[in-house]
Amino acid sequence: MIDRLIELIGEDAVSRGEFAAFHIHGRRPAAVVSPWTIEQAAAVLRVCSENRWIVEPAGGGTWLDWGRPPGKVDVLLSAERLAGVTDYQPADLTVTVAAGTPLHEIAETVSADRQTLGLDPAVRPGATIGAVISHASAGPLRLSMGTPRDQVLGVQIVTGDGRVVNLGGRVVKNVAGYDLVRLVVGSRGTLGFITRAHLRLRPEPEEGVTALYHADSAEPLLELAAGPVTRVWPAAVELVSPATANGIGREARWTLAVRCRGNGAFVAEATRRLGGLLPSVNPEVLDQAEENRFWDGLGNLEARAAVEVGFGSLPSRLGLLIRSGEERIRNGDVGEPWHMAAHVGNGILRMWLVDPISRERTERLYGLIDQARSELQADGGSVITPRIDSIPDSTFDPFGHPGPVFDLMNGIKSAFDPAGVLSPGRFTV
Amino acid sequence: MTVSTLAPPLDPGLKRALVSVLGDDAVITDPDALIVYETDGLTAHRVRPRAVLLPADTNEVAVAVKLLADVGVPFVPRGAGTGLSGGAIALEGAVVLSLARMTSILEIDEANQRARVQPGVTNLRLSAATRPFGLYYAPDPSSQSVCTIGGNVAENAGGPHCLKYGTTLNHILGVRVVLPDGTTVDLEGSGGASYDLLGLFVGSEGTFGTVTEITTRLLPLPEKVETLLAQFDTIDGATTAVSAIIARGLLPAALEMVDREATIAVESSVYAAGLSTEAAASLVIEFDGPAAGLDEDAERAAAICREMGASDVRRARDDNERQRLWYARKKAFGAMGRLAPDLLVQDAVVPRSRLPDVLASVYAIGHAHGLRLCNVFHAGDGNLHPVIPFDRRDEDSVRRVRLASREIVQACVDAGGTITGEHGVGLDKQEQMPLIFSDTEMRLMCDVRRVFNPRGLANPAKVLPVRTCREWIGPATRRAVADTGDDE
Repeated sequence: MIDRLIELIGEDAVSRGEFAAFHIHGRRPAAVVSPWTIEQAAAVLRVCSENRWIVEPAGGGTWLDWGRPPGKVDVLLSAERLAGVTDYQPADLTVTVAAGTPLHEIAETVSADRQTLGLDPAVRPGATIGAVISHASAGPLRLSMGTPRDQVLGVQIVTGDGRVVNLGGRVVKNVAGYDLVRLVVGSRGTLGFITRAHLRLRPEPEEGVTALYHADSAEPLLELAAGPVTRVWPAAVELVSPATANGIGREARWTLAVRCRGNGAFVAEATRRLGGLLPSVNPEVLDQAEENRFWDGLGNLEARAAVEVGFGSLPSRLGLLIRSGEERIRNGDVGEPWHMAAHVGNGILRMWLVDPISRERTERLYGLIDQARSELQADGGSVITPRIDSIPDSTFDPFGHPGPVFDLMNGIKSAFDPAGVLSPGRFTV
Repeated sequence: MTVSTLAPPLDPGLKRALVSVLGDDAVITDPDALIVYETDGLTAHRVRPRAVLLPADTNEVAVAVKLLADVGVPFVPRGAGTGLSGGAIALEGAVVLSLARMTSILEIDEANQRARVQPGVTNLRLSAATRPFGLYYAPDPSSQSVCTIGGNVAENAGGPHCLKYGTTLNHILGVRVVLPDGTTVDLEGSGGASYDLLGLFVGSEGTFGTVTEITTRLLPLPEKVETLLAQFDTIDGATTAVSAIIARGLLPAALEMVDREATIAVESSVYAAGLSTEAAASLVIEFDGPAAGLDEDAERAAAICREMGASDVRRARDDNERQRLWYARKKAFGAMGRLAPDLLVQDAVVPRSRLPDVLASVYAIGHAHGLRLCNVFHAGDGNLHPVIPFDRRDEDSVRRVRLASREIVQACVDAGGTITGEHGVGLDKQEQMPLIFSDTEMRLMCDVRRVFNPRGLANPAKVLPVRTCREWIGPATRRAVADTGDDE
């Protein structure tokens, strides 16, 4: 296989996996392939499909511990050399980037013109835009800025069998043909190897302020978030547990962080309103430098997760989710300290552990997750584990079953990856 | 342009079965009663459907679709029929599946800022119903008083306020869909165990199935709205102002442009707002949201317009005046419509920074073909709507309109744009798909459509050029072809 790949795209783009820094749930790929060009990536996928060599797409290698463990990995296909901001037109509020470009590099490029991607996912250093798109990852700012689903205008991908296709475009409105871009966003590399993306940008708000409200339990803060907070036009509303607040250097109490961003006049008014939301409570008001430390701190803490569980439900059900989550952890002997944070307006709760846990505890955690999933799914909620240790031969499912759309998903998978070489079995199809 | 023809009537057995499920008054087969379903907003094409079905709920849709599937009769889901790309026209002997009776707002969930509606609910009615809760549905296509949420989902409809709020896609949280074989599924976005099948479905123009229930996001009503109208002596002045407003960090809710020809038409109608008909172009600029800071944004936009040479900048002092300023934009199509019996409204998108040169090309194309042409469009999004009045009885003018229309789309594509921003491909733009997509890309789209619609029964002969899917060969065969190096 290695010889064939070297013959195909040259020695400098192929290395043996045994020396690789990358591993996937403890498994090293037989080869690491870092094409210099899109044509090379297409050639590689074509031969992989012909030979049924299993491929794991990768960017910065910061996200390989997702999903079910692979049966085998022949080729780790890296986008590290397909990197760089290739076209940036500030007047268009759009940017075109190669998929292997680290997220922070894009942020820096566009911030020179006071623009922003509006994406603040919790990612590890070096995470690429390709990975953020693959995992549809977004942070607290999703409340006002949306998620990659809203920001990605177009992508170029190489399908499992080596077809290079351009989906969507670089303009902000586009209804030409079927919107296959949406399928790629969040497909976790199972539909194609992303090589390029056109992204929507937003003006960077001139100013910002964050107010922190503290309480001894989550409930009063959720009530605050559901009522008075909606009247300050927040950009982000995040509830964090005492352990999490402590982990980012704040007081170890339940904390509701409300962030407002806009021009000077708006932020001045927001600051005034934030101070008076609760007659009895004086919030901690963070200025722009301090608030950046808070939000970066939260993202960095979550990015260090060795184990993470994500819950999706209606915003009004978050209180229940948090209570049952706390109870399960308390009684479950599944390690500590568990961190908790919720995107309140979006109904998304994340719970995570920074340190890995023993195999026994992981097994117990699987049981708790299965239980929570069967309870939540009845109400249309979901439970996924973006990062979790694997146990050989376990039947644990990190994402749950997609239900009646399973056949549709399988059909789509075969349209993009007829030989089934892209991360087979790691997601739900 | 298609001539009206009569498709063969429904098989009596099928008709009886449909009547027994839907009721006598929900199965229309009388040829005269079918005339109103011959066409949609793109009136140049007319095909009379074999029948029109009017189901009342998801279950009736599912049973009707199953009955049709059993005998292989195709169908076209239809909302209010206001689409501008011919998407709701029944080709290939299809029956129309009208969702006009599915008009219930099933739930308004104030706490979670969402609503669940049947597809026949009109866009404006949803916003009106949620207003008492301080909420509204943001996407606002121009036809919002009559167009339906179901139709908006099918087309991924836009509107003047897309610039800040995005299109329909960004406001739909879930859909219930009856697939072309009669099975019912709920589609969600990604984030759980599924691909973003919801995002894929929005904008699929009725070719993936029939939407029967929709969960939408609702947004808090703005505290305040500020509307400006700026007039410019040159088109370039106006387009440069558009770019500058965007580049300097302002995000208006709407940023619309109306050219002189359109302004003249509006000013000579009952909607005259007292605008100068000398100015080459006018911008309608609107900011909305929290009251604090809005005044500053509006002032900055006004200053930018003046800097770019605006001869006149007005700011609405009250709702009344605001509405009048919007007349210049919203009544332009109607006013142009009075100039000739027929009106072609083109829809294409370019990167915003290319507006000045593309607009120049558009005018040049109109001039070259001796056509009177005006532009009324979503400048902030780079979404052009050249409007060409013509008379369909005049064959030569029809020919020139077609040529000009094609050249305009080509100019937009050449500038890095796309063939449609919000009206959809439908029947009108199938043949333009190859301007922006390769055969490989269109075949992939066709493969994905086949996953939902394997027998081609849902809205046949739309979106993709017919030959792409007719000559379509399965993935297995394609691999064999690829092996011989003879792909495409």
